[in-house]
Amino acid sequence: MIRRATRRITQGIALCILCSFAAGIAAAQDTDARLISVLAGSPSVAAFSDGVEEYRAVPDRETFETLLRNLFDTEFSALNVRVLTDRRLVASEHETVVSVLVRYRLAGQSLTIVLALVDEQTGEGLGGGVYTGFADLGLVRIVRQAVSDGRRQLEDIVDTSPALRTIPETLVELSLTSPHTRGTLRFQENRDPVFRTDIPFEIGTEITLLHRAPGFYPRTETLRIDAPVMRFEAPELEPVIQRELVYSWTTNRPLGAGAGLRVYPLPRSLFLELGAHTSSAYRFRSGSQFTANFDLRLNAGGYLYRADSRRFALSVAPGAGVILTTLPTAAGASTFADPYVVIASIAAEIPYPRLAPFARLDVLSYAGGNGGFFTPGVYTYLSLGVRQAWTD
Amino acid sequence: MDRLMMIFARRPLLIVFCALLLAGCPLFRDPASPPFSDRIEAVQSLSEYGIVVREDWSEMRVVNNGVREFLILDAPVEDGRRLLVLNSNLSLADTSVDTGGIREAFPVGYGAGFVVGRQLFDENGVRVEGPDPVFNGNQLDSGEAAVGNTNEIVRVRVDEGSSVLTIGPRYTSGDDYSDPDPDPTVPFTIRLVDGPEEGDPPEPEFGFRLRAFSNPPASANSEVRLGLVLENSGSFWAGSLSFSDVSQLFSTPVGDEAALTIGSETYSSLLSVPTFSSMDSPDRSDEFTITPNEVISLGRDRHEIFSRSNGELIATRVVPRDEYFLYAYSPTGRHMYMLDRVRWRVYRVSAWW
Repeated sequence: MIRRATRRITQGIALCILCSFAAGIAAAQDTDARLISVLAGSPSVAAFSDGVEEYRAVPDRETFETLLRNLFDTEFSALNVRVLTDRRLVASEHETVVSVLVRYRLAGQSLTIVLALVDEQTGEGLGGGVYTGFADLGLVRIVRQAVSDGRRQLEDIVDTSPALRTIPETLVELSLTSPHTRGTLRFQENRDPVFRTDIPFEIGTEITLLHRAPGFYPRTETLRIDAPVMRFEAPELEPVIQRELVYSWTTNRPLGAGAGLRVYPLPRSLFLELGAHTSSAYRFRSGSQFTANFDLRLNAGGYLYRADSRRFALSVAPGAGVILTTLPTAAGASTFADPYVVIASIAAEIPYPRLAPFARLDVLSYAGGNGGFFTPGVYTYLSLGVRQAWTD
Repeated sequence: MDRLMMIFARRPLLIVFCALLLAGCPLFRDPASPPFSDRIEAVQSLSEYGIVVREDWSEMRVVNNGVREFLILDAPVEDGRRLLVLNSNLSLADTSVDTGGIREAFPVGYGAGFVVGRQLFDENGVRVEGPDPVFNGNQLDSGEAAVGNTNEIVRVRVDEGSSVLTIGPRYTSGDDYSDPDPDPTVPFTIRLVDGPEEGDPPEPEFGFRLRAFSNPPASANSEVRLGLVLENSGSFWAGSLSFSDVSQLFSTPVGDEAALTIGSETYSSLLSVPTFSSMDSPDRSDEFTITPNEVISLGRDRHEIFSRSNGELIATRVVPRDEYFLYAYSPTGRHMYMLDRVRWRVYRVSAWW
């Protein structure tokens, strides 16, 4: 991570410096010196200590370490840097991390403090010093001198990194919510390898999320990070529709309505549709009679174009059918049957997930058999309707 | 009602929709459905009578004798042309072969039979065997019509470029129909422009052309009201001639030449000087049907109904003339007959206007 941050700096992308002031306060002979992680940030300052201990037990060690830590905390609090409590909180690869290491030896009344400022990326020593004295009344003076020197050297480092003062904010907390019970939202890392979930995201960046749920079409969502704490509620996914109910009204047969069932062997692509339509040629005038038409049709078709994001789809579905006509004549009802071919059934639709309004133009060819009623030829019909998803 | 009005007032699109629906906008019509499909009263397939019709020229006429109505269909069959006589319920009354055309089809009296070409049919539409009637198979000239009975036939015409309607000559049995003047005593003429009285047509520059002449719709009281449609340079006129006694014209021999002169005392059966009404731009149809109250024009792409009394357009309906359907209106104005020439099926349709 640190090396990556260094590369970022050299690449001239946003430069910022993070000073991680890690003060190790330990007995000289203790090679396992413990760290005090101090958060020093701009403009806020926070501090954290996970413990100060002396390699050799002394009665006032705890008090001494508390004093030592408080003094460093106070000094670095005044600095315009961000102080981390933990290395894992390094905000981005654009930051420079400076470790501040403090060791002390308390032998009797003799006190030695060793201060070292180290660039974590390069391992280069950036400053430091050795401060000795008696751990009695001079203790505070020695510590303050070490702290003061450390602060001054850190300020010099900050001054050489102007971008430090524009440390970008990063995402701290992101809540992802899917409306689906078993929905998952994942970072689509393979789309942009720069983004990894173990690297904090700067404010202003965009991330790509892959939203999945069983029985629904997966969808990618682009999310712009614009606040340290964000909530993202993913929109509902479009269900995988296997069957739809179709309701239609044909302008050329105004006194009538149609209903049907559409089945998708290949969802969103290929379909079979069985439809029935009943109508009457009755006209609201004296002498007009109620004739009855019953139209049964089977279409097989597919989508020529479908853009769900734009809410537009175009399909074509040839087919065949038969229309029965009953006339109420004086001698009784006479019924005729006209088989026909659907040369083309072109539909433009607005494909909402569960309801798809459509306008359809049917081009029909009537053969004109002896048992038929309709005039032979090729005719066009305009229908308006809606398809409704049929889910279990 | 107020609520309904409010609904319409707030939804102008609904008004447009309903208007289009009621106006018979093509968008709201089944383009494959036969015309008048909501008014079919009776249907009959000719194949049910064992008649196999070839796809060829055919013609229909309707004859009404005041009591019964017959549909005369001249259709091509396998062994030539055949004349089919159907009752108004579309049952078959008779068939005949090659009658010489059906252009000259007229009833021979109230409740009596009718003549088609040279063939006489009785009051039941059954062919009468025997000597040919007077109409000896001869054809009328274009612009001519004929009325008559079994023994007599009277030609009705307007000579080209003339303004004079000529009724006659009259032919009786045995006359040579090709003789232009078999009985010089019969013809009488009526000057169509007898103006300047109101309602008279203007003096035409090129005369009139007789476009339609109604078969005498005989009535029980013997009054004959002949309907005429005349054309002059694209203008159409509907008119009537009323006679008090049908026998004056057709049955009683008119032997007195003077009796045939307009204005003479003996020609008193002519009730009035004919009056004419200008029709509102019909579709230049060459086919008219004259009913007691209307003139029906069967144009190229529409049927139009005109008032006989004032010539106003009463109703119109888009009915393209195509190869599929043939239409013939009843002289009563109560029915129309429609022949599906693809399936050779006949429909009787109620009046649509």
